[in-house]
Amino acid sequence: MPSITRRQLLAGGGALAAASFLSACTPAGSAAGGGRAITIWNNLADDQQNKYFDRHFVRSYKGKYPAEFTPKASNTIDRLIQTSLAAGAGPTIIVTPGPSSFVEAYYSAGYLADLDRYADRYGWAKTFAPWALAASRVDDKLVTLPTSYETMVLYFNPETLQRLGLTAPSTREEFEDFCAEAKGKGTIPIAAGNADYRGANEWFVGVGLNHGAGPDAVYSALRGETKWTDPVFVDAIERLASYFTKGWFGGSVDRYFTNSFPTVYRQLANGDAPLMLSGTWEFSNLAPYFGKAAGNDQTWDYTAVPSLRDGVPTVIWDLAIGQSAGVNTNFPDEAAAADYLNYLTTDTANIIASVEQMSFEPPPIHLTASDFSAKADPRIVRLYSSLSAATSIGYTTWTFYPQQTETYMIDYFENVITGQMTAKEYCQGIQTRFSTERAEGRVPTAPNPAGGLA
Amino acid sequence: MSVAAPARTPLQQSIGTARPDTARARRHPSAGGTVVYVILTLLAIFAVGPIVLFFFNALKSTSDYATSSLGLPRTWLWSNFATAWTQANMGAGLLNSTLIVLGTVALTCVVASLAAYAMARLEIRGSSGFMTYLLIASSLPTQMFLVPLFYMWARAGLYDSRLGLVLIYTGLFSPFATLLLRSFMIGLPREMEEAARVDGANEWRVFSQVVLPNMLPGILTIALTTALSAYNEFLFAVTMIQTSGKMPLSTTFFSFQQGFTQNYPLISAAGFIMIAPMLILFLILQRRFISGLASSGMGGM
Amino acid sequence: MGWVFMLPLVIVNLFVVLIPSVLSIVYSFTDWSGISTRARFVGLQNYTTLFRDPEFVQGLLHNILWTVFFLIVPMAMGLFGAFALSRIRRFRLLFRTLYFIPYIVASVVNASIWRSILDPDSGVGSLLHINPLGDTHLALWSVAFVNNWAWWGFLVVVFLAAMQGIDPALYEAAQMDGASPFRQFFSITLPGIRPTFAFLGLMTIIWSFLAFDYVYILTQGGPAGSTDLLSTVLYRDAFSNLQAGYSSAIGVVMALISTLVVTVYLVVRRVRKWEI
Repeated sequence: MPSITRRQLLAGGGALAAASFLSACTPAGSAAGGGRAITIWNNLADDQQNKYFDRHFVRSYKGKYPAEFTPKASNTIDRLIQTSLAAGAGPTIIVTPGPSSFVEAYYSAGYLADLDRYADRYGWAKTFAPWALAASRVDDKLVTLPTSYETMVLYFNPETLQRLGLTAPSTREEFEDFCAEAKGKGTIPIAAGNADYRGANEWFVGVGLNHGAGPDAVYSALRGETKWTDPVFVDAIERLASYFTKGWFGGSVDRYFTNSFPTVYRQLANGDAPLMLSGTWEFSNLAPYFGKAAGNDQTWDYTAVPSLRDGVPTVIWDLAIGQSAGVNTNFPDEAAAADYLNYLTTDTANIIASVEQMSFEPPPIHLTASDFSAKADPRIVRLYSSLSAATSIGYTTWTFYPQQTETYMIDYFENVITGQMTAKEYCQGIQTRFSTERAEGRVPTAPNPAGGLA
Repeated sequence: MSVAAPARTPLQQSIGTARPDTARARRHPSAGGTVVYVILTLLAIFAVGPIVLFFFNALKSTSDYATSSLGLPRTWLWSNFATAWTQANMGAGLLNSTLIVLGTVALTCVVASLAAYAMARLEIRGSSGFMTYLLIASSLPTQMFLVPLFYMWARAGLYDSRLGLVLIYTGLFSPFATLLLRSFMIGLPREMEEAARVDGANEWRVFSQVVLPNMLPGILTIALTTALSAYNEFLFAVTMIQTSGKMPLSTTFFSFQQGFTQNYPLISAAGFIMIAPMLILFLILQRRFISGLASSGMGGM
Repeated sequence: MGWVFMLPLVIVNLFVVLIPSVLSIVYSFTDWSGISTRARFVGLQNYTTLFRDPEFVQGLLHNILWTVFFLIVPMAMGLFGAFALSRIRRFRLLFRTLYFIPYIVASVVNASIWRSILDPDSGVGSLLHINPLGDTHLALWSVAFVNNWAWWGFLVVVFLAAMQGIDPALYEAAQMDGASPFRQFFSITLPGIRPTFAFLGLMTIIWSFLAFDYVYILTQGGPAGSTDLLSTVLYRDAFSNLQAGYSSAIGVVMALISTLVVTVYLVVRRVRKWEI
């Protein structure tokens, strides 16, 4: 097969003349930053978060060049970054939704700088949790830094639990009894919906596999030692799907598809739903729906996701890098950009302040309960002490699975819960994509499930 | 691909008296007539009801909306419009939309009227083949163009620029406008042009001094249809404009609605602000709007 | 000389339509990811994969269903509305204006209006106990319904304009013969607007294969692919799945469908000698 470059592609069909005509109008690469500033695009939840990020993570940076921030919507940022990179432009700091998505593609296309030499200069090996740096490597090169660290938890509304006379479940049996009873009492057992973000499917698939098949099984499959078609996975997916078809997630399968995030938060706040299964990124999103901000006296709390199979530990913390950030190779001063990236991800005092004030997710740097001040939300302090004491971890799809496998898991889970595909067929689909991507070396490195987080 | 009669004719008829109807109505002031009016009214409610409801929702408080999303507002919160205006940054959006729409309309009118004149009047070779090409060109999936256009525009420094968007819109909308205008021109009398040519005027003078004034109604029509398309377009707007200060209203509204601002009354208020300019323009110039679009739908291309 | 006047159109069309189209055709024979600096020519591989790809086949099927819906529902509403309006004396202009208003409302706003109305908790969905956008059996029709709401009024206006071009003497003669309005519609009105009817049929088919906005805004092709159209599959393959080459092949197939429809129309028109 003849190999061609994109420029030659463009030349095809007599377009070369056109391109050179257009290029003549302005010097190529002007988008790389004529005024020379470090640019970053980010997708935060709301205006308040944008303002905080701009003030405390962008304008506050005092480096060789000033930093500039442009807010983007969550559902368009990836496409905007892709098209701009393909066009030879794009922001200085390239963000992706975790190491699984796009990182490998951007790196092999030459858009992401190799950060290994800065790792030594800034001592990142000491600053970051080793599992997070390991997952951020492509072809054994560090190409992104993790900017946010998250895990899945089971949220509950204590007042609703009390009213229903239930306690948060921790085993499969307790979970199933809880849901059946809560449903029987006219509530939605677990507030859930993917109308605002289809990717929400993978939160549940990840939970279903980590807690329903177990981290050991998942780890073995990620290393290619077990197949995804193994009955342990098929059973886990089948059980998870049955929870959906029983209407435990979001009330019914069709409601799950149309519930927006605000609906989900409101259901948890007003007692329509006792539980919500989601990630720790919700800490910042839940605030406006509870207590004084919402004009009610409701509260939320969380606990570990229950075990969904006998023999799987009842406390497993699913590891996730919510966002990865790398340096665009078209930025002329790579060292300056790396310096900003270092500021963004390792300025501990700044990061702690953002966690305390805005419930932002910190990067996976070493944080313990003692790093927080008395002002900090005790729920957040508890999270970081639980995480640093973790003995068993799980693997989220957006951190440890290769891209096409992840996309498939998101898209086709809907076919499973609508009865158009069996759990077995779904697992076969995962296996087909996974084995191809594994052969191409696209699976991020996963840490040992019992290795803890240190 | 041309309308035999000028595009205006059918509507002039509609404004004049329609004899068979009146005759018929006089003869049968029947129950059948009432049924027709009832059905027509139901259709009118179907068409406008959702917009009226949207307007009501724009005036509700969030709690009011939560309890009744299909009813009248309990208190009329006119301040929602001001809040939406500032929160969604619609002032800048409106300014950008205005610039983009005016730019697109101006360029499209120039490009289309020159080409339509050539196709309708100057016997050029390959004209009918070119018209087929234009018809096909305006029926291609535009999503397909996103990647190559983005690449070319970025190389040319037209990415993230309102001018870049104007050029794309001109490219996308001018084939249709040209076909429309050409069919309009065919319906115009040629005598004055012939006379000017006999007097020794060159083609440019004939075009600019004789044809153009006669074409004005047709140009106004394509200006309106182009303005509507450019104002409402959002796929290219959301892809090609990065800086929030340069975004047109469609993008501003889209991101406001997609953001986690789930305050539906505010979203409705912002949406209503977005549709208001076109609504007003339509109500003022509706005859021209409708005649243009009607002739385009009748195969006026 | 004539081509000098054509030049601006040709130039702008070259850059915005022709070159991107040609590039798409070139991409469609490669495995280009859309972001990579390299791509390989893979011959017809993308095209042979297409018809084995369940997402493409499903998208194509949905486009056909969409076309059938738009050939029937808005056409019927448009013909009825226009015929009724052509026969009434009072309020004709008012009705025509009201019917036309949804057409000028931007699709992003339309989607927002209907998302609220169709909401299963607070909107019409709660009254009817259905979830129009969440139920895989209803979702495609619900999106088509919303799209149609913005569309049928346009057809009323066009059909009405065409009907007003029919010679009134024909109706007078029919009335003398005692023909019912029903008869008059089928024997005078419909034949009288045939060129317009055929043209709109053509445009309906073309636009149905290009439909994108409402699905993209309301459902993104979900739930479970039940609203996927070729255009949304194309879009997802290009931007989420990083398969620009493959997605270009989908675009080329869509363009071929449009070209085919236009060609058939032009041939039929030439054979039948329709004067439009």
